[in-house]
Amino acid sequence: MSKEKRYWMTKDDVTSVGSVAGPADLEMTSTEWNRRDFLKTTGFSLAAFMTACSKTPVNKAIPFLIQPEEVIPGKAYWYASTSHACGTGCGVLVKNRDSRPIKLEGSPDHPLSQGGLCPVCQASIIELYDSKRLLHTKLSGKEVSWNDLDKSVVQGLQKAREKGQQIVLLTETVTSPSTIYYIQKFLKKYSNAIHIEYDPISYSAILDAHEVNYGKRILPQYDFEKADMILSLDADFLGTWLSPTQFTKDYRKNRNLEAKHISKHIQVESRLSVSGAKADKRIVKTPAEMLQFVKDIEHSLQGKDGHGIALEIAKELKHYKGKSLVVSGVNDLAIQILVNRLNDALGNIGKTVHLKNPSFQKGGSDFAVAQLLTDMKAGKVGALLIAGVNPVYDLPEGEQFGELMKSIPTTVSFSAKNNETTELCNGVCPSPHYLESWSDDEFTAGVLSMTQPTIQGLGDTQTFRKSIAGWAGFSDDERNLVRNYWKKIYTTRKKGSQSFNRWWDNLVHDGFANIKAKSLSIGRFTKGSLPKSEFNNGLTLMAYPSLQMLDGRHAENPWLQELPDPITKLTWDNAASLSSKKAKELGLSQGEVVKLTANENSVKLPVYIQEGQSDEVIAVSMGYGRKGTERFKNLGPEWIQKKATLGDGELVGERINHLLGRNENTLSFSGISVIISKTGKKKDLALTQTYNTLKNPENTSPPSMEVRPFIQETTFDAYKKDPSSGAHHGHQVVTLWKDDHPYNKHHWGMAVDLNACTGCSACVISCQVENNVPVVGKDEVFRRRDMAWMRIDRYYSGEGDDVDVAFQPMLCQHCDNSPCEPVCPVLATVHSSEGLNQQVYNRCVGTRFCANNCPYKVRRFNWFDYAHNDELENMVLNPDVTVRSRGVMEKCSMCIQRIQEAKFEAKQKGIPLADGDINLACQQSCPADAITFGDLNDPESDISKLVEDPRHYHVLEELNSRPTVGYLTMVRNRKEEKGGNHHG
Amino acid sequence: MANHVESLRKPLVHGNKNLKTVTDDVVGIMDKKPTGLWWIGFIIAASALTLGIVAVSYQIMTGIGTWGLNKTVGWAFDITNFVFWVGIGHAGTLISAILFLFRQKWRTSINRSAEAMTIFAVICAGLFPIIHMGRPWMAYWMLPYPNTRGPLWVNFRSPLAWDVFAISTYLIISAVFWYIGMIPDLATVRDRAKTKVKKWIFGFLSFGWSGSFKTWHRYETVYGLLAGLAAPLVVSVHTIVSFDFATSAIPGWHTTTFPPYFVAGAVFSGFAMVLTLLIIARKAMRLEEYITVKHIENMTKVIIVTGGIVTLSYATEFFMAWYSGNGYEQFVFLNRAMGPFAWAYWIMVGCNLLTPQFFWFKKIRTNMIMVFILSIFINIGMWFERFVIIVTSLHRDFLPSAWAMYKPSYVEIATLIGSFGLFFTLFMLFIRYLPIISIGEVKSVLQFKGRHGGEK
Repeated sequence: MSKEKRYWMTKDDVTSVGSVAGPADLEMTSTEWNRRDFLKTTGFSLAAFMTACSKTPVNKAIPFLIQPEEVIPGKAYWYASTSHACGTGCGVLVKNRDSRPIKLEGSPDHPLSQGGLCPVCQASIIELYDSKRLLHTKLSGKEVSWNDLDKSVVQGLQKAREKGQQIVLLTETVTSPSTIYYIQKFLKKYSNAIHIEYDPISYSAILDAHEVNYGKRILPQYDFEKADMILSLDADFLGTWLSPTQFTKDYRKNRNLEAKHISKHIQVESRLSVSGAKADKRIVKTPAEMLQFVKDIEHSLQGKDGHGIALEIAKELKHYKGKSLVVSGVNDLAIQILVNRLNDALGNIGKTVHLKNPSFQKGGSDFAVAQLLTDMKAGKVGALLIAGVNPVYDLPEGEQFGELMKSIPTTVSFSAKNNETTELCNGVCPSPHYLESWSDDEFTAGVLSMTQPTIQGLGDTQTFRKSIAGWAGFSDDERNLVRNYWKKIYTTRKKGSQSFNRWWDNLVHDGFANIKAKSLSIGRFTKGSLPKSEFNNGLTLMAYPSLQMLDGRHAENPWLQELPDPITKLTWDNAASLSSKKAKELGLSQGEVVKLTANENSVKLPVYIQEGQSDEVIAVSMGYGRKGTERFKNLGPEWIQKKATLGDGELVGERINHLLGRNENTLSFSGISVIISKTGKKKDLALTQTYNTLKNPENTSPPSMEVRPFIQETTFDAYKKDPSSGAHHGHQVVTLWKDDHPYNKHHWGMAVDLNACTGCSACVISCQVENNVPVVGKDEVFRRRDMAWMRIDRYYSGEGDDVDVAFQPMLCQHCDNSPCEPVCPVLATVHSSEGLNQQVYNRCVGTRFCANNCPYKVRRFNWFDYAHNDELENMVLNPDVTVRSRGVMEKCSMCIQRIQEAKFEAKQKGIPLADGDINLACQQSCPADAITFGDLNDPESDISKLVEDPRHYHVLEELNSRPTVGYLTMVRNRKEEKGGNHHG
Repeated sequence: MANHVESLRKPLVHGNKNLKTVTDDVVGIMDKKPTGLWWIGFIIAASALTLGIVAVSYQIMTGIGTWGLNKTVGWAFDITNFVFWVGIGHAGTLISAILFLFRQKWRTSINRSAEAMTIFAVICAGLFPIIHMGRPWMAYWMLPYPNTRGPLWVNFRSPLAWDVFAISTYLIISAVFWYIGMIPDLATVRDRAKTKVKKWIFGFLSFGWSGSFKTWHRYETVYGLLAGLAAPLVVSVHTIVSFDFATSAIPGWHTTTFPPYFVAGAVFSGFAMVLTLLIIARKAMRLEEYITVKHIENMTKVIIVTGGIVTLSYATEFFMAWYSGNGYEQFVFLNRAMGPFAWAYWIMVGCNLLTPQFFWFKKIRTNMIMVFILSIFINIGMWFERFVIIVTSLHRDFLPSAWAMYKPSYVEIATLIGSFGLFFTLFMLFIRYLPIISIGEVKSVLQFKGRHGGEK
């Protein structure tokens, strides 16, 4: 599908492209109309006119009297921009329909996204249409104009200056060069001002370690593509660590089975992460053991007394000298210094670890925040300007921070939503959603990412950049603040010889530009001395960012709350994960609420029993217990036996940040001593999968089939010898019937590479956004009625902490012999001439026979009327896809709207449809390129080639349902045949 | 000769009834004011029905989500109830049609009520396929008729479409058969009616019955023909119902033995229900002399036979699972017996396999209280049979990731109670307002010591 990228030249163009008004005056004041509003209003107006003969807003019902030049109703426009949702900075293409963004896709050219996009960024689009967004500036709780607010803040700042008190800018890592420029101007103007950055999920130790080893506080860029040997120490680089989409793309490139060798990935971790699930070898260690383990590896590498696995790994690392990569996600200086030493000793610097072109994605300092707390306690701070962070929630000392804030005369928060911190600030500055704002960001050295508005602002919002520039004495509009900055400095940074205007236009059009990286003086490697680490032995707490919630800033996003965690499959909650052995030892069962006490704080959480986790670790995901999530209390359909998603006064999950500890300079997220005690209560856990292996339950397992053969798995060694290794040699399916349904034109098919899939769930959200899949709430999920068309099945094999994990994306298999089709009494599910199994919503009477007869259980029934009446939120709906009503069945349509669109386009151009013209939502979003879709009738298509691949198989082939969705055997880079071919 | 043989047999009706007393006994019930007992029964039944109406209305207004179903278990109480009620109906047709064709004269005093039970049960059954739909207001789309939507026909490959034909045919034939059989009795009621209204109503209903030889001759021909038409339905209806499962791809459903297994189960459960009803009715309506212990005994014998077939079917299913070598199939049966729904399975086995064995003993067979209790057990067991087939097969089928549990909601339980309410309400009305025993047919099996009585 060719995407027409458009760009705007001036802000005036932006407003002329039609707009959507703010939520408050949605109905009456918008001057442009889309089709639905038009129909609604004409209908209403006519009726009102006929009956009442009174004044009606009929004058508003003329759509596009002056048709905006660029808008063609029903046609999508794509704009390049940058996502700011997860902090990685992926380039995105924003799909705009009738002047409103409805879908985000990773920009294929952007070096960070490379076409993929994480679930958080994809889901962030709904936050644009959040009716609970902050839309007006507030001063001490009263709505004021920006001018009044500016005046008041400037007064406060001057007062602080007069008093000699500190002015503190507390922000997340600032990646925008123009913002940094204006901050510097601000700091110059207010000499008593300082700028402190911190990251709620801290990378401080990595930065600090580089200061120790290289004399410069930098975060290197890691190249997983070039790494043939990856040793990850609790770094969930495929899930949440640093830049997961980019890493997954890169990691995948070096796992190509056609190559002679693929990378080897060893994961040492305390809990089971997505990366651990994909690892070729997984070693479970508590944080304390891990530190010792890294030391052992270092010793072994130096040829000293090595032994055991550490020696083995050291040998392998040595073997891949210069092509290996050691990363760690533990926020501990000692471990990070050891990691640096290993990378240096292995000659990885400049090869897989780039110091000269570092990443600016994270640059916060835990130490600076600790310092700020001290200053606040001493009463040194006279003004606190907070942007992009939520310290009252994020920091372990959040509560204290909040108390201290109250005594600061001027506190201002820049935030898109109310949060724990804005509540305590005098001044509240509503920030725009990134889809409504201009920004320039250098997330990694040498790549300038552009963010452009794709919709007129829904509220009276203003970026932090604009405010800080204004306070520093630069007032201009949002676009010019960015543009003028670059106009000033572009000669020093641009590559090539374009004029500025040309360069700028290209930058906005492409969404990014390669620029000259600022030169950095990196010192020579020094070993540095290891500080003391404070990992406790015994039962310890480990706080980790969950893939859906990260640090909690998206807690009010219903899509993410209902996205099952790839590992735990838990929605709408966080839980205390315990190994089954430990749970047994403590006499705890799943769902039992326990009290965890650490660092003199405690939290009550339900127990979740997690395989593959260290027995001495309790893992809890962060990002839950955010204020604002009480809005979900009554989410979901109303009926007599409904249990509210949240109890009175409850939030979604529990905040655990106050249990975290602080080492000398860094926040510690793991190795925290914890006391666990029973509370005697139970809590329902809304899991989307409750049976976790392919092995039958012991007492009902027939001898002929102990393990269900749905996952094919083999080792790389075996694969090299026999590409079909791992295949279950089933019976050949023969038929007496002649094929009386030939597919003459197209025959669509899909293949999912289990070897590539990381379970990251980007496809699940992508499908949800594309196909208007409703959110149903905790109780419905608990009742196993979640609506996702695409689910990711997760199966464990192995015992104790030595488990293998297999992910299997499961969606409608579009069987050519569909079991669902013959059973429908009203022909509501039929087969298309192109091999798709199609559900006709308006013919469906809802007998559910099709769902019962589906061996894959991929059909979803509309148990209630899920479409809701939040008009603003409904703007996110894809107008190409029907919103299903109550009582009908639905399921994956293979994004039929995308197929049709591509076909029409080809027809219009008079050229045949080419392979790759159609990109399904799931396929497009996949950071691992695990999904291939195409025409099985085209022998040259990628899908046809994959079907011939010896790794290709169908799930439940023996039923002769003839699915057109196939899977490719998972290959682990292992020598031994662990557990044979079977996955169980 | 005939008389000689007759006298060797035990009389089918006790108490030296003559033609007049038979009429008095049966029609007398309709003339008297309803007893307190009847009122109690009727109020209970009508309350249950009201509860059901409320539940179903709520469900239709709110959504199928008010049931405990989920994306894995798409049918549970709804189709369990459907199959259960269809099964109940079968005894009536068997008694009235098949036993008639086999000239089993003992059927005469129970066939009317058994047939009525059939119709009421089929009405109950027929409701479930409609209310179990996500959009029941579109239920008419299940009917094949020329329409403006294309025309868009039903899917003739779908067993649910077959069900529509099977159930509607069954209801129509049963109703006609029952009604035709009732015409001479309706005429009797008409003749005895004291009020004009009653006379007019029954006059209308009896189609101007004259009781002439010619009328009787025509009547018996039609009755015989209808019996012939109804007889195959005993087999076909439940066979088709069993196709809902047998033609599917789900292990535990995909079973070729289902048709005979279901038919036997239907007759089994139907006779149990007839017993339940008639043991109360004969006591309450003082009809012990018509519905004798012999009738009860005969029916228990049918239960022994059909119970045996059902037991054999259970065994065959397990054997076939083992013999097939199909792991999924084997798993389903192990899961039935030992999985999370094992309790339901063992209730089913206990009720359906063990209960009929008591009927081998004459002492138990002739003890009305025991027979009554045992018949209830069979009713319970047969309801659970369908529940086990439907729910345990679905809740753990192929992909373990989709495995789920099922728990009924209040609305579902209320709907089940409501269906019993509907059934008993109709039955209570029937025993009050229509001749509960086929007067004409009973008269034909009376034994006369002396000269014929003057009536008829």
